[in-house]
Amino acid sequence: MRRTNYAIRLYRKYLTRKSKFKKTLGRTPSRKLLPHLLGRSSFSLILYVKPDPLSPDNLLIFAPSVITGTPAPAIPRYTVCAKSPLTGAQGEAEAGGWWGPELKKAGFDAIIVKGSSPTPVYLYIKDGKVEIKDATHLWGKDTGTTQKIIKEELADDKIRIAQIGPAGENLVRFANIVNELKHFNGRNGLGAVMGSKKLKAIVVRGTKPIDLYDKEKVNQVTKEITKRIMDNPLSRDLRELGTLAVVRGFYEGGCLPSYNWTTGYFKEGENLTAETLNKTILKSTKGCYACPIRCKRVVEVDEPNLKVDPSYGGPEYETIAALGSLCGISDLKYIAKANELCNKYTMDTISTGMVIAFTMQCYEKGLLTKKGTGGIELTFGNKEAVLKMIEKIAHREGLGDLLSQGSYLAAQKIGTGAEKFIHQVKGQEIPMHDPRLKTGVGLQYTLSDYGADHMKAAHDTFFKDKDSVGIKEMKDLGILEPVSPTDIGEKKVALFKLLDIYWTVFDILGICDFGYVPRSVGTLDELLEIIRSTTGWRATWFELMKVGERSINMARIFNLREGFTSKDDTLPEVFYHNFKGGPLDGQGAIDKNDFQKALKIRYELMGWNPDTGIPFTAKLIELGLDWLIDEVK
Amino acid sequence: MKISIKLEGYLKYKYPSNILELNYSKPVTIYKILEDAKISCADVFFTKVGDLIVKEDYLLTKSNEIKLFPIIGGG
Repeated sequence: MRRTNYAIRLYRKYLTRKSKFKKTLGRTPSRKLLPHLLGRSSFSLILYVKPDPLSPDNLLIFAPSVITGTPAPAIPRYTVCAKSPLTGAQGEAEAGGWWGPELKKAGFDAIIVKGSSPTPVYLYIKDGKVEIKDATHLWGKDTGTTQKIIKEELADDKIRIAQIGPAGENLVRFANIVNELKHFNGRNGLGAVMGSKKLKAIVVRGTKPIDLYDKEKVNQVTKEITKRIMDNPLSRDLRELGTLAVVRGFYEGGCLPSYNWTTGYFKEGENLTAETLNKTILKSTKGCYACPIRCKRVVEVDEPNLKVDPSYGGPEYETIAALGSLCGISDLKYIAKANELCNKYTMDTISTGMVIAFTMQCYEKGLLTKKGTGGIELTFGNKEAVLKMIEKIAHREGLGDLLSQGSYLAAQKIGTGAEKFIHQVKGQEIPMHDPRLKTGVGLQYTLSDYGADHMKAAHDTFFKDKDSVGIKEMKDLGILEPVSPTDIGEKKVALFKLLDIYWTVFDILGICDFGYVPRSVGTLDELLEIIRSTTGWRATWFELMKVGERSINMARIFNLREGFTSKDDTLPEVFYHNFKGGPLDGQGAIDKNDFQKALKIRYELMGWNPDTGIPFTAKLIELGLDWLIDEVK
Repeated sequence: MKISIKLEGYLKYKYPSNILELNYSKPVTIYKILEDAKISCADVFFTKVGDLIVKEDYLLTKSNEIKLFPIIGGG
């Protein structure tokens, strides 16, 4: 056992003044950072500036957590944050893979990028040393080509690369950032922020072991959780079928988002199931750092007129639905191709599918003509049209230029009622989970500080019964009573207040929900033990939940300062109506009054004004955020 | 009457057989079937009988196949 006094090691990079970059803070803990444990909470730094999202003033922060890189299972994730060009709100996105742990091995806990380079550059970080390298020759190249060139020029096959493709360079507002060609900081358009700084990539390589306070204990917990994960039926399902294991249930249940959310019934759903993918295009599976689950799909298509490169992985559930059923597409090979293109160009597949499905509906309703689409027959089910539109969006050509702004801005420009066909919260397109069957997910879409997201809390289904994992295993957080997935009463609201905070802790600590309760088998006690034996801190769940709550409140205040109000906490109108078609036809509508009532209760539970949603001063004092009191006056 | 239970998703790994069969002499609810098959309600998101999504108090009056779909979370 080795005693460590954990210190945050940051690298702040000024791209504007090339020669004056410097390491800041050294190994001295920052008072303002330590209470936040990094990850998502590193966004707190952006509270100090008021940037335009695509200006040099915006900070772009890459932040693993204090435990990223521990050998314990399913903790590989890191956050990228900045003010989002898609929403104008707090922007954040987490990615798995290997990049976060590699940054830690290279000797850093976070990278803060400020300014903008006059010419394309990439950052090369190796064992504590940082170089800015010319990337002029990489600008305009897709991610696979860029990775190949960088690996060749650095003569090191073990480097890990987080990078943007042409969509990021072209400032597409939902461009993402990819590491290892298949792990994404997917949402909020943070790839465009990277593009605005002319930063093509951040390459990391570390050969030093990560500091562990009690290595023996970490290894013991790792062994125990790993064994249980391997025996767990849910984890086995993920290993064998990936995240698209859910397709069968959604399509047979009639709640697979289809035809731009006009129905949940997709007749050809069988073609999109994990079982079909396994039988047709699956090549292999992959996992993230220290994760035994290996939920990632790798697919390959090798046909005369259609080829899909397995280097780019394979589609997740969200992609299958967004670029498939939502656009009326039932051909897995074409969805795999669409996924590959998005990965090459770095575009979020959820937003990409949503903007294309939106324009398909506009086209079918006569709001867009063939002239307006550049000659493309943009009808639901036209798979060639989807591929063409992805190209056009990434390169901002014709209609693609308009769609590159996201569906919210595109609908305003198209006008003539197009707003009816978008489904977004705070400017971000909704993911592929229907809140009519999981109302807590709807609450989280509505209240998410970074726009609609399905990863803002555990889903309702894990708390439906007295024997549910969430009820049996999460009593220490005060989760005691089951609630029906479709309930929207006080108990649901109280449950999701806790889950929001708990999930925020996951995003702060870089934890994947596939490893721990309620989604999997790692327990609350084991998570605490991992934190303690990795850092040497005697963390408690009380303390961690405060860290999570603090992060939520900081984001709330940032958004408030940027002009967001309680009026932006909305649920898309479609969910206040019944399902149309399929097994759920005529059912499911969420009662609008009940939902509004639930929101007010949630504000109160959070210590926010029930009318305005603004945090009360007392709440800020409780959380040690008194330095933000002036912002709420 | 004969009730066939088809398990979907991870339920296939959690419970011993992929398809279970139970016999009843009178109408039976989904809830009772789950209890008799020793399948926890906590694992079941929804139940399908033919083309219908049904609740746990749904009464089956003749031989049928029911499909059980597991709880679904995001990720």
